[in-house]
Amino acid sequence: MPMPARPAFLFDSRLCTGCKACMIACKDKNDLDPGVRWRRVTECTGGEWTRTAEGYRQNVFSYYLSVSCNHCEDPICVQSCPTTAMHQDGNGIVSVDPKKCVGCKYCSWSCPYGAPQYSERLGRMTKCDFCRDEIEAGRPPVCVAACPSRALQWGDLEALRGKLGQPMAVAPLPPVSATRPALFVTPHRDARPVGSTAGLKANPEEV
Amino acid sequence: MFHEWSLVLFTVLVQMAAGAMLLAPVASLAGLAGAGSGVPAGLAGCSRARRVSRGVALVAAPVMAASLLISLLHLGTPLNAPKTLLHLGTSWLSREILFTGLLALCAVVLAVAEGRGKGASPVLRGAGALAAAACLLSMTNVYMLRTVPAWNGPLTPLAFVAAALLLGAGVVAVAALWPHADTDADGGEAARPGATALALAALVTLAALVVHALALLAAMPGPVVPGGMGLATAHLVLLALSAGVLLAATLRARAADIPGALRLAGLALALALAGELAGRVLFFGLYARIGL
Amino acid sequence: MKTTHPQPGASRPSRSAPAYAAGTGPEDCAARSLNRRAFLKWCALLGGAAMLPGGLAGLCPAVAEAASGGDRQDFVWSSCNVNCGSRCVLRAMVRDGAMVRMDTDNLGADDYGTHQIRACLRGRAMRQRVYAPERLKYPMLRTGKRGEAAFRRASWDEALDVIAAKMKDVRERYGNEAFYLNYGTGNLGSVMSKSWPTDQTPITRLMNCFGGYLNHYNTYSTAQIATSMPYLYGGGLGNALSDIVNSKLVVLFGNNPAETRMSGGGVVYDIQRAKRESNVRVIVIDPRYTDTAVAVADEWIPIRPATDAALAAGIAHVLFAEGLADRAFMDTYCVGHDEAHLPEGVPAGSSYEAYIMGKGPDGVAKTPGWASAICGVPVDTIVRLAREIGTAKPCCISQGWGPQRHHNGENNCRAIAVLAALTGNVGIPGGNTGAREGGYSLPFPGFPTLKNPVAASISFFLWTDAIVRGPEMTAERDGVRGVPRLNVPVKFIWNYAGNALINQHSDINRTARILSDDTMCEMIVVVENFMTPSARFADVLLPAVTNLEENDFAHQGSTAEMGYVVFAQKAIEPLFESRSVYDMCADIAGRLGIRDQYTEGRTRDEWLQKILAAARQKLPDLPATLEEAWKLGVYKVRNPGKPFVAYKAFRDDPVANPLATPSGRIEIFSKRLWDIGHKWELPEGERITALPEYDEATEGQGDPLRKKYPLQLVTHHYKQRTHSTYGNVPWLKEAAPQNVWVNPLDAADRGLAHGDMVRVFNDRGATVLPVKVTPRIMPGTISIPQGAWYAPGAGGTDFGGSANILTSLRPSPLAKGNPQHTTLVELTRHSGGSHANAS
Ligand code: SF4
Ligand code: SF4
Ligand code: SF4
Repeated sequence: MPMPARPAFLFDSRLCTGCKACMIACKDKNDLDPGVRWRRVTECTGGEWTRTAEGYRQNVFSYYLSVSCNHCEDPICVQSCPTTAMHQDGNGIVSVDPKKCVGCKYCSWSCPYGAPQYSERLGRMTKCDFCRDEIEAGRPPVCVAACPSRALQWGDLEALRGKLGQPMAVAPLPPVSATRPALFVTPHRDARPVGSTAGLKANPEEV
Repeated sequence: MFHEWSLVLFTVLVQMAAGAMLLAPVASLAGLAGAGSGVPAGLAGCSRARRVSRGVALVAAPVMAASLLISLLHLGTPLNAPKTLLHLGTSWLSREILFTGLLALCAVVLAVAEGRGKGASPVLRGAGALAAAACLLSMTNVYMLRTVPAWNGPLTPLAFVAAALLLGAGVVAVAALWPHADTDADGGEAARPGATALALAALVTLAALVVHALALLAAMPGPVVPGGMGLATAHLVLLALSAGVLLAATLRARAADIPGALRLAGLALALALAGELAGRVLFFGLYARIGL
Repeated sequence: MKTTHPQPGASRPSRSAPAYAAGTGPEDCAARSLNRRAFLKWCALLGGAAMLPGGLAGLCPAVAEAASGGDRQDFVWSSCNVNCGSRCVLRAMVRDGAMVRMDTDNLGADDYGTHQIRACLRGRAMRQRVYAPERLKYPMLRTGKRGEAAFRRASWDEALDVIAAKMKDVRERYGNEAFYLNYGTGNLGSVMSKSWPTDQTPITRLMNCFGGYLNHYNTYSTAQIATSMPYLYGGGLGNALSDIVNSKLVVLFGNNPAETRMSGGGVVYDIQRAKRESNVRVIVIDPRYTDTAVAVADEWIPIRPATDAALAAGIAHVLFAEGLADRAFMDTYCVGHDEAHLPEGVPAGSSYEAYIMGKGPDGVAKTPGWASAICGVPVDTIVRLAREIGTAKPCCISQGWGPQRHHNGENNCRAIAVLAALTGNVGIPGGNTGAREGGYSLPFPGFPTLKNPVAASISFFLWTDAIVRGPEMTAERDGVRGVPRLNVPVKFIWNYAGNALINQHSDINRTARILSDDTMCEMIVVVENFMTPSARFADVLLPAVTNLEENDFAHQGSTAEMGYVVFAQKAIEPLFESRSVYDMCADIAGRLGIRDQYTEGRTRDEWLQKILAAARQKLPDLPATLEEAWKLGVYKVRNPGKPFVAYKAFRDDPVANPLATPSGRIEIFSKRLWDIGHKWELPEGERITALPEYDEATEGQGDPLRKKYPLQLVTHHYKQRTHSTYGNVPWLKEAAPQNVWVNPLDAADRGLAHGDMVRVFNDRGATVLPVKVTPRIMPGTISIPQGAWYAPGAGGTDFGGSANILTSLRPSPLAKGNPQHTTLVELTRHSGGSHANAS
């Protein structure tokens, strides 16, 4: 695919098995330190068990969300950053200029996706840059190319908007209005609406 | 939990200095008012006012310098610190850093001016108060993030302004009582404005205490913080103690026991500082953003 | 039939301007000023493997720079050769002799049938595995007590001399039956270095040249199902999962491709695609809400482990009672389903219908109520499930290998499969046999390992018994095959690319006790990449290369519609003194005077060339030379026909194409099992039944031991590892930390919160690990992902979260297989220290 004017992610939660190939492909390509996770896979699980006379009843559900930076149209990280290190380029790609970053972590506090990832070793924030080198060369970002289930796709924001309408989100993602992410989520059959607390982030230690 | 000890110290100390620099002119006015209400010592009143502003400047300057140093400890790459002024257009953090720097500058200039005989000009003091206000405003906005509901409500402005007034008042009270060659000749006279300032400070502290309690209530039901109840309790109890000790200091001052009043005022300030630090740890602990 | 996958070859886009990953810009690091070679030297100086790129566990900026910049042409095709059931393509990006990035098959078109064989997270983390600090650097000889991992460095000559001398000595004193090749699947799927099947490895050829070795049959994966399915079908085939596009209903009993067949060219993708295409209703029956349930299930039916045969019986009761059983089908194709179709010489009341309806010897009707009390599935659910199964035509009933890995596993898996026969779903598109899925594959020859002159064979699971009491082991008591009784105990163990010496066998503490006595088994040779828990028990420890350090072919993994083979080229030079296992064996053969017989005068690469030539006999489109093959990388063929349907010929014409059972039919009642059941010596309380009856397992539902140990421990396959392979990779441990799944009700009973450290224990041992409190597991059942590396601390407690410290060595009755999921335990908060301060 030629370099889109504005790249966007397309995530089909129905297909995601939570396998994390996307995350490890990213860690490998970018040689990320332990704890630095440019792409994270959140497990959202809910439902309850009750003991009844006829045995156990349950209404358990579970689904996964693979999320990196969404290169938002209203990027609070960029707005918050005091140094302009966190910046958005002409393609809407938000990245960190290590020459400017002061390592104050303010962007990571403000981003509702936890996308900016602080590197203790560098003393700077790091984050997904939409694999700019790959997509400029006409290849998909490595996470997209890694997904065994083909749940993760990418495309041009406007083109996708034309096809799919406005981006939408499901719990526990923030409302789209918070930062206007370039992320289209196809809801899993059990997905709960944004704001719902029926499902919990079930793997806090992994994201 | 959100361990940001350097920011806990930084915000509380800056708020103390800013509060003091905001309150110093007010206290001076109060001192003059005291003079007008029957104390026949206009000049002495000026001196007392100056004693407050000098004391405040002498406290604020080192506190601000220390705060700026502490703030560097929060940074991963302190060498890039000058770059934090590059985004004044949209970043409240950038603005906060600007105004904190200005406030520190004012404090230092004031301290130098006050240290040299005649004292600082009202313009300079006014500038200091303005910088303090701007600093408080920007600092509040830094935490009023639209993605952090617990902070993006009344909690942040109430907690920050209350902390600034409370700690500032404490500094003013101590400054008003601090022994000084210029004015200590008429020891008895010094007691009255000292007592007024103390009474005011105690009032401010009580008011701040209520505000704090309200702010905390407003933050509920927020995210559950481990140890949160303990921190909230410590916070409010220490502030209440501080107010009580200030009241006692007022009585001491009225009884013309200036050294006794000073000791109590110092204790009250220490208690308030401890209470605010506990409250600030809790504040950072309440951090929880929407989304992932 | 052969259409090669279009390869991007010359038109492959090359990378232009170098770009740096954000935040890893080279300006941030002192290493930048060093050039690449100086950097490597610097790394080496600082600490050998640990400091090699990747082994650095993270950002060596020079590596990130190399990985990100420049032209991407210089990658090398390779593969991931582990025992996950899939087989993935890897592409190693190499700079100045070091791997700087691990990519996969993600070039070119992604058309189903020749689609991209995308590696799972583990393959993507291969760099950290190859450059792991645990890599063995040189041969070593044991100095301390066996198992203490006290070794000294030895030269290759010395180490191989020791092995050759001991081989001669043991052969002289005990004969060849005293040599055992332990099960190991750390290098699976390759051709020249494969460690499994055990009769096809380079070591096997060496041993066959040397006079043979004691065989084993079956595996830790499939002992019970591989043994018992042939009694039913004469084999164990199943339809491809791509065939569910023709189904009206899919019922998966413990089948979990999303966690056991994770490749993007593997079964998880096949089932997802088929589900998406037809939107067929899928029911997952499993104690865990698996990732397969997340991805494809419309309904999850949790079940107590080891009770599948009871649930199946309850379903069968509804089928018989409501006339949903397919009588016409059964009368034509089956034996033993009802009284009219029993084999000769069998008493009345022996049919499956009699057993189910309460007319058999036990007189108990296997009603849904009876089943529910055992398996924990509510009665109404059983009835509804049975009606769905009975009325959906066709219905695919499929099982994974969890239901059979039990002490009563032989009957569990047969009972599930019988449901397919009762409903006439065998041999048709959209149906299935109730077995695990089949698929499409290409023929590809292996390395010829010659014939084993020794006939004796034991169950893979009884090698510890064979050490302790070999000559007592008989055919009818211990399932010895080939001979009526063993002659000698096991005295010499070859353990190549395996961790079943300790970690993946059962009852680690007992196994360790047996192994630590070096007067019993006198020699253990371990050929490994890493200092694994098993390697610690070696007498001679030989460092092997990883598959990224040698040329090989990798034959495909399990897929529905695609056949393929990967031509793997050496990506980097062997690290340290490690060598290819073929070369080790050739040198040992030299010391034994059988080098020429072993090598036939060929180098390893010459064998590869010969095997490629042999492969071209069947697949003439294959490249002719290794060089061409390496350029191509992977050769793919789409199944030219319809999705595989098991026993279709039998269904079409049962007379012309009988099954490989004595009757030629589906033997719901197996006369062979009937005979075995009357002949074999079994321990108290065990039975081998002709029908797939529900038998309460040892440590099963009614075991009084439940008073003390109320929780049933099962284990699951975890994305962090393939069994124990990849168990030392930091990226994977970070992405998927070891933990034990506990239902919130059980956690609440014990005052546990998510993330707490807990101690899981029984009389056999204890392990400490964090708890994952999740409703995704049945109450009363807990699950530890198997394969974590055993890390013993004070008092023998394991701090690695290794499940086999808890499992039992008591074999299942018929297969003599591992009862890994039939384990009772208790769970408490762990109050002691961590591994470090406990020991
Ligand atoms: S996801 Fe977060 S870091 Fe990325 S652009 Fe949006 S706000 Fe910024
Ligand atoms: S690789 Fe695909 S299926 Fe796996 S976690 Fe990522 S998005 Fe989900
Ligand atoms: S572990 Fe299996 S699925 Fe994963 S990359 Fe290796 S072969 Fe593929």
